[in-house]
Amino acid sequence: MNSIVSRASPYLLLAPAAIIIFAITLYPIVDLFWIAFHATNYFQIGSFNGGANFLSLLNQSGMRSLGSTAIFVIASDVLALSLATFLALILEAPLRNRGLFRTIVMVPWLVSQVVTALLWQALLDPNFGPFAHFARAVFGMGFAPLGDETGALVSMIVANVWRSYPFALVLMLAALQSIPSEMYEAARLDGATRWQEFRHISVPMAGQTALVVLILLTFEYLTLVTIPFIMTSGGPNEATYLLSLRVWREAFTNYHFGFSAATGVVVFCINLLLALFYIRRFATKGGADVQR
Amino acid sequence: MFRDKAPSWAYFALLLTSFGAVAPLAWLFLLSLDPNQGVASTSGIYSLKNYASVLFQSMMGQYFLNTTIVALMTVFCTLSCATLGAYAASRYRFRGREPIMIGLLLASMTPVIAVLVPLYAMAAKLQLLNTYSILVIVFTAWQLPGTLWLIRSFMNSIPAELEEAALVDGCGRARAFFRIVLPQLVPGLVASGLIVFVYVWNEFIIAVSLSAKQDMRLVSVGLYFYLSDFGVEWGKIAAGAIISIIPPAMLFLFLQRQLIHGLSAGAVK
Repeated sequence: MNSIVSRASPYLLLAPAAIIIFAITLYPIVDLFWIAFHATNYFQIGSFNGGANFLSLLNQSGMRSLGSTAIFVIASDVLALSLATFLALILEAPLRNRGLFRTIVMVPWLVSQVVTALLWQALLDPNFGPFAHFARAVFGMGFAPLGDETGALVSMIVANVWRSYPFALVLMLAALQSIPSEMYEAARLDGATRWQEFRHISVPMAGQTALVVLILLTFEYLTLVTIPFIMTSGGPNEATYLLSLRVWREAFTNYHFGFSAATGVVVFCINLLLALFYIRRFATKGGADVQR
Repeated sequence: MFRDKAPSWAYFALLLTSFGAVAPLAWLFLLSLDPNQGVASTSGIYSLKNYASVLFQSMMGQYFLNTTIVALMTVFCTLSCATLGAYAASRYRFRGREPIMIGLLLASMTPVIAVLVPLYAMAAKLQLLNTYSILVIVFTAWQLPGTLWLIRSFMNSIPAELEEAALVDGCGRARAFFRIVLPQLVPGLVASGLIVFVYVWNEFIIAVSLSAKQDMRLVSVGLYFYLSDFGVEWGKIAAGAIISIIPPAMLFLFLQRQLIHGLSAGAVK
């Protein structure tokens, strides 16, 4: 009796966590696929309709969402990672007040997505925003980027990078700091230039971390909905109607649960591919290390 | 690359970035002090009127209370479920342990946006919309995988010998856990609890989807409705935003050392 209890106990201890996670993430995913392949009318789930819901993505508006999502994710990735790497390289140098600078550049990390979106919406306001004020005073012209299709997408990318680069910076700084100083010293003795040091020491040594950061950022950007939701609500003219926002709006504004679920399936599958790649490449290795 | 010597332009680049990081928030603070609601860029008048009206003439007080309750309940549920699970995964050998841990990691990568529609339908069916419970359950599920992983690696770094000795001496598993493991786990629990609390405090899209009724909103949702309900009152929105940043900023400030200690101890292995 006692041995049965002790053999079952690890499973019992894991049960609360497993049940909650199963009920709130795994079951809804199955449900999502179910809804995606059925006709829906508000909350009523009707008959199987093949891939008809997915056709909602194949029109002009759907294609535009895919395009703007790709631009948003890739541009944010590139900008956030390069800014973080650049700052990490400088913040490694022996500077006066280095600790202070490290703290100050991390400040946007504290700001939530809601406040970020509100803040940048105010900053870019054509009437009282400082940018508009500056444009009026210096060039004598108006400045209303959120009213312009390209301007709105660019503004959203800027706000997004502003909020998320500190996270990338922490990881890149840790990666760069773990490179032993001897490697740089040896390179210096051999007469390497700064660029050669970067290219042949920093890049290969911190490259793995950069890839991890890139994947984690892509996850976040791909499913980001708060910033477009508040800052532009998808406009103007659907220029910032990202896939993730489409999932939300199709369900909670248009009540097309089927269309929403189909778009959700697309987002989920892209994420799953990234996740599998990530786990195969990094996590299982780490998991093996942790085993006792 | 610059480890031995900073390039001459380093300070310039850092000052520029620091300005970019802080100036928008400083401007938001100025906006919040402007009683003319930011219609003119600089009216030159500063007052705390916006703060008074946000705190005393709006529902914000209620939203702060809602958020605090939901956040504390989520921290409690997440930490207790995660600690039990992490104890099993760290101290027992059993079939399927690693697949379960990888499964948890995979679950943590589920995009929120993909499950919101099914969750909304589920909550509606169970009549849990606009309640604290549904928010606590969903937030807990969302934070559990990462927290369990963190606490587990933290627990792995605590040597098991002391517990084994206690078990040999006839101490029960539960007692050994509470008397020996738990006290050593405190830094890890503080760090994880802080992460969960700040997550709930800043979360928006789950909260607005599942609990948007006027008296059941969280702070982030309240701020958003402030914008859509009273579009032009930017001074008040700015004041609300500044107030909402204070609690997480304070927590980070006070718990910084525990956070770094807790996270780095967990990451040793």
